[in-house]
Amino acid sequence: MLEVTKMGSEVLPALADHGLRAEDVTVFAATDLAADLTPAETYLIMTEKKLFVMSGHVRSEGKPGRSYKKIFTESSCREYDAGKLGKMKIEEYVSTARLFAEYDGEDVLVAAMTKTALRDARLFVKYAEPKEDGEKEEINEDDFRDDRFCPKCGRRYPDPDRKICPHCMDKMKLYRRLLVFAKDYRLQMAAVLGGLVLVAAMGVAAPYVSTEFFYDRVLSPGDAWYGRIVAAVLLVLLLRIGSIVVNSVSNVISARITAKVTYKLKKTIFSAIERLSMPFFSARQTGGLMNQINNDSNEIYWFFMDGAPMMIRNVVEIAAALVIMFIMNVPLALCTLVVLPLFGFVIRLLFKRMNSLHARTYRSSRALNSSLSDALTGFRVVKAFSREREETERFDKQSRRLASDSRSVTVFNNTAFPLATVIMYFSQIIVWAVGGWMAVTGAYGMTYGRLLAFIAYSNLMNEPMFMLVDMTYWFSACTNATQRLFEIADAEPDVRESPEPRTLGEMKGEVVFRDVEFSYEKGRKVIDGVSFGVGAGRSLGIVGKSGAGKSTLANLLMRLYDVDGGEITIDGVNVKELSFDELRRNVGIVSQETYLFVGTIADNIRYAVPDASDEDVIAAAKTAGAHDFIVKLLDGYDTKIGFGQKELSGGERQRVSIARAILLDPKILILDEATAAMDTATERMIGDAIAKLSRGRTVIMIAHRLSTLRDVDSLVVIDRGKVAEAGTHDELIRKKGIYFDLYRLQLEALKNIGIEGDEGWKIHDSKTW
Amino acid sequence: MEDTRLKDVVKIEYVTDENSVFTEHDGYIGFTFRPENGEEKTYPRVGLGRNFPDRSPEEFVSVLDPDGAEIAMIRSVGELGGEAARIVREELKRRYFVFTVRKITSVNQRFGYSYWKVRTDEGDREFTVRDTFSNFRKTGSDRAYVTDVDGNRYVIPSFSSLDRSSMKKIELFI
Repeated sequence: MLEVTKMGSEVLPALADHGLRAEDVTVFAATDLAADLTPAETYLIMTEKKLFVMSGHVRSEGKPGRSYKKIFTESSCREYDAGKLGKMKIEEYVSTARLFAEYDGEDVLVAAMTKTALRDARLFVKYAEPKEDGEKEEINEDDFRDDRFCPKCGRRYPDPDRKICPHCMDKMKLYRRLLVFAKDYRLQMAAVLGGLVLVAAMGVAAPYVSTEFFYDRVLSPGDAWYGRIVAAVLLVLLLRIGSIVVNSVSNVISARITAKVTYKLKKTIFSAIERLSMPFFSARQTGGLMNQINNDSNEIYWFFMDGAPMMIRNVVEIAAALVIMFIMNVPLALCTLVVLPLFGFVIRLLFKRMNSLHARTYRSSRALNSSLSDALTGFRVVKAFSREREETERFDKQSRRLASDSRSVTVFNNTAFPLATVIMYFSQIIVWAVGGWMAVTGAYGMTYGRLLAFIAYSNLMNEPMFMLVDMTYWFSACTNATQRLFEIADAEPDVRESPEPRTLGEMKGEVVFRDVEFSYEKGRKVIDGVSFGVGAGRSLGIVGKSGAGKSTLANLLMRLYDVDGGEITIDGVNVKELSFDELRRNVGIVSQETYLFVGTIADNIRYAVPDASDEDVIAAAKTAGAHDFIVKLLDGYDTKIGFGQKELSGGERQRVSIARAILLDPKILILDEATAAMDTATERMIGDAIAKLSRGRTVIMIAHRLSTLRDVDSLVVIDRGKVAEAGTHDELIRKKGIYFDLYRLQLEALKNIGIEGDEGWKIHDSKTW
Repeated sequence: MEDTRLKDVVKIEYVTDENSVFTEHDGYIGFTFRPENGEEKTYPRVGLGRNFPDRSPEEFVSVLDPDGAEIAMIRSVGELGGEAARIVREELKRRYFVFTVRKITSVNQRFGYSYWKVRTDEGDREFTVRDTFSNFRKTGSDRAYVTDVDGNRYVIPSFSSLDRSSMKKIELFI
């Protein structure tokens, strides 16, 4: 039995009611809605003869433990003869999806589900849908590994791609890992820690010296310290200065360590990222990823630079103050403590509110920024449609909103927090009243100086209490950041290099795709059983509508992704067995998205071959048709491009990317819509150059402008992830299929503007129409 | 010569009671349609797509073939005859089914995710939202929806109909 969803024991009685045993079931899955979209457990039970779809409700009986069991009450069941079942299809809607099947030549609704159950339903279709040739779907173990639940608490992972349970995250483990980065700085860390404790101790000692010590000893006749005012003042001064000095020194040291540790952390993360494969990046938006890494490491930096030391100091200060207060006078110390929980509670509430105010301000400032940059980038459009006034109004509205949000933050900060200190003030009043009474009556050995010291200590605790509450938020933000960073560091690349790669020596360049299957998302095939081949030194054109999967084929050959089924071979060797180095040295790609790095044009062309001579760079640029525009630039090949520098046009960028690929001198060259942004003359020129270059080289060209492909030896037409047609241009024209239609359409477009097909077009074929 | 109006350039095929028949099947609908200058054709199973789902859910509803190509357009569901309008509304209800939130019991934020417990028209539900700020989307001054990690939408049809404690829990995101 293939359990797409784990079959619980409650299902067995229901099976028995229909005369079934667990062994009879071939595929099992569950969804969470009944066909009429009401919440219900729905079981999809495929057997050799029939498909059963049961809906009902599960209730639990008994107490957790021994007598606990789940009971399924069936409310409806539909049966379908397996022999009459045909193709299955899942239609997705806003929040739900429905599974339809062809049954006896007509469509029937089999089951409904929320998107939560979509994955299981897709897998059910994959394994239960009858295949045309009667063959069974190959079983992929990954489909049945039920790793969507946290093994510790059984909760579902919020993100199926991130195996992290926010409830069971081991925070200490995270911080221990972070400490590994700091292990070279043990001594410095000890010094910082010692410094912090010292500063806290001095901070706690100071009030004692300036109050009780001063009044009860220095100013009290009869004491050994009586009259030694200068010494007492010096002592106070010493404590202050000492505290400042120690604090600065420890700050300097911790700044150094923290900077180094975050640097190391960033470096680790960055090299981890470079190691990762494409799927990782497509799952997260790349722009956001970089931003996130920077923000996260800053978060960690400031937490360890500011947050953690402050926390240590505050904890030490509060503890020390409490200890001293209890030593001095137990009843009075208890009096101060009475208000503390209330104070903590109120502050916590205030911070919660403040955080939400801050979040709101952040949101409106983000909205303002994005609409501002929107209006500025789209400035031409704004002008052209004369929408200046509306844009100004929009800006004004958002700007006002931000102003009002910022104002509430400030108002809140300046009213709520001072109000909160009133609570602490109550504790002082209690101390004054009770302590005053004690001082007057002399109860519990209370003196005037000691009372002052006591008041000073209860004051001293105010600020650390504030800070500690704030700390909990800071701490969780930092934990979150650390978690995300380590997650990247730990991510396993999906595309892994073979541990014992095979070497081809001299690559000939014969490429074969055999029954290749691939999906970016589970259960949704983008490439579905594609087979074709290109002989060594030959050229192949891939044609198809946008979204048909053409670029995916190139990505698979390059191993930016790995195939899910079938294989891709070069010279008869599976690409998975080749080393990345050998594969990517021999396969060059110019993709649709031309990416040029910040730097000179020469650097960009040399990207893959840093030691190429200037002559080679020029030769490559000439082949790619880039030389002509480069010589016209004042700085020639040394022209800086990229952010805020010289901007190249789309066609120019493409030519530079082609030069980059040509300089690599690959055995297999993939041009993925590489000339789409060029004018026809330039494209023709590059086409001629590439035709010359392609002697002894395999060239795969992907294009939807057919004139781009006029020189290729053979063509493959891809439609919805499958090879729809294959053959030479002439064969495909004769076939009068998709290619023929495309060709006729594009040729007619030319005829309409008065061009009877130019010589590059194989006009003679048009006579055979 | 009269000016060419935009809507005369491109012909929108509208569904009327005269040129079409909707049929009801088990969980889906069929459609027979005769275009203005074409032949009548019957589609065993069609889909419906709202063009302005937020603003006018009953207007400009496309009738789509199984590949998602538009066959015709319903100008306004209300203009159709009683039976056809009923069938269309039923199908729209199925396609655009979302959980309608009536009360928010709790929202807990934890390490980048928020955990929601809500009462909907379909009973109590719990769900998890990733990056709550970007997945909480306002669709008007008084309504919004939240998208959970699986892509299910939970619609809050009207802020003003929520009770105070529910409102407080989502205030931050509005």
